[in-house]
Amino acid sequence: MIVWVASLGVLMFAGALAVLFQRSLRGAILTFGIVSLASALLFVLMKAYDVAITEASIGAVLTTAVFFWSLRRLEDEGYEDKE
Amino acid sequence: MKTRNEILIHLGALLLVAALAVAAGLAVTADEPGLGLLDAGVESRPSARYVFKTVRAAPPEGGAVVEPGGKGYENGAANIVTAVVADYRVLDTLGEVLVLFAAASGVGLLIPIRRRSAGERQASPIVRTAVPLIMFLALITGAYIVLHGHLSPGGGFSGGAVIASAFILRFLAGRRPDPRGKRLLSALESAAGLALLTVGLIGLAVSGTFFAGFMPQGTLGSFASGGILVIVYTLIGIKVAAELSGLSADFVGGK
Amino acid sequence: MVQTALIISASALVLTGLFGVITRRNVIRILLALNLLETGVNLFLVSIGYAPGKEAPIVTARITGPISPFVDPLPQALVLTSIVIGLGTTALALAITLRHYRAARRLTLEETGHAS
Repeated sequence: MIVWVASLGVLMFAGALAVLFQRSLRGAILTFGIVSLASALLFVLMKAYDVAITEASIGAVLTTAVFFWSLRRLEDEGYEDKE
Repeated sequence: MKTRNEILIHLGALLLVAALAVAAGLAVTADEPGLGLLDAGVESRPSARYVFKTVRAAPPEGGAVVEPGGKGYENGAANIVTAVVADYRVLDTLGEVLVLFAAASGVGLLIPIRRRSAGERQASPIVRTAVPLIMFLALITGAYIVLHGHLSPGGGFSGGAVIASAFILRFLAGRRPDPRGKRLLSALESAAGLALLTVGLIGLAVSGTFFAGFMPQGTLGSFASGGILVIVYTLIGIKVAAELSGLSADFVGGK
Repeated sequence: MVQTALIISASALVLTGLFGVITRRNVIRILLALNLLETGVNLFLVSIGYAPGKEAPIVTARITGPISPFVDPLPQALVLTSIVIGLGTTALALAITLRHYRAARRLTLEETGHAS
């Protein structure tokens, strides 16, 4: 059990750093989706099944989709990330 | 990092994060009974009264008994988290429904109308063929999750999100949201919200307390149990599904 | 031991999100870091209610006695509300960002405190 928790924790921390320091915005949004899904897995391990299904359907799917839609509409208006 | 200000901000943020980490670590591993978090016994918490359904009346001597198939509890739902969300703390859930409504309305008012861009690619034939099938399955799964919130994990919020995902699939297959559909979704969402408030007011009229139960609690573990909890959670599921579908339609845009 | 690992993971997410909100320049990245912060806080809340050996809070068999055999259901109920509210605020913030980009034609915060 602690092996799962520790590996998911390391994955989440690495993913969080990747969200901040990654160069491309689309990669950052995708990595944020991965962190959200990993947290849903942690919720399952903590026996919080309602919270897990809510986080997986709202946090991992809908929030990531909303970010991608906004990025697409920004690029429609002429935004390019030059960072 | 180009300017001196940026380096200072980075260093300041690092120091703040390190200080917070040290402070949190000291607080969590403290030995005082009110402060330390690692040894807070789950058994002796007040939320045990939510588990044994002895919130409104004191627990009997020798401990309470809750079993599937039993009757006469003050809340007949088998899923205790659903009982807390939709019966014991339904006022917090009402506030949360209000926040979601404000956010969805704000998005509908603020988001700019999208001009159709020149390079619209159509989805592949696989996606266009598979989407109606998957949408049908997703709608059934979402409805099941909403309706069985008091028996298994799930409930109104996650089921509503799954139903909204079914509508999002249509947008992925290239179907633009039309204004008549958005008006229908908005009307459905408002009707569900009003019905939720009406249920609370009926409870006020019947028993003198907002959201008091006016239906029998039933047998724990069966489908017809929990009193008005099923009605409340189903209305919340309809409202959340309509709201999230409208929100996604606003973000996707298009005529 | 497991509770320590859970609390450390949740705190790592919270502190990384906080660092990102303070130091990033791009508004989309700031919103992503804010969402990481909220996810970390939700994890922290649920991990307070966790105890090893307890079951999920759904009544499937007869339970007796003053000692509850389940994990704490109260933080889970609060976190359910918190996740949905996080989505609402993120969507509204992104709508405001889209409007702001139309008016200002840039998405970065330049000097300290100025998003001109």
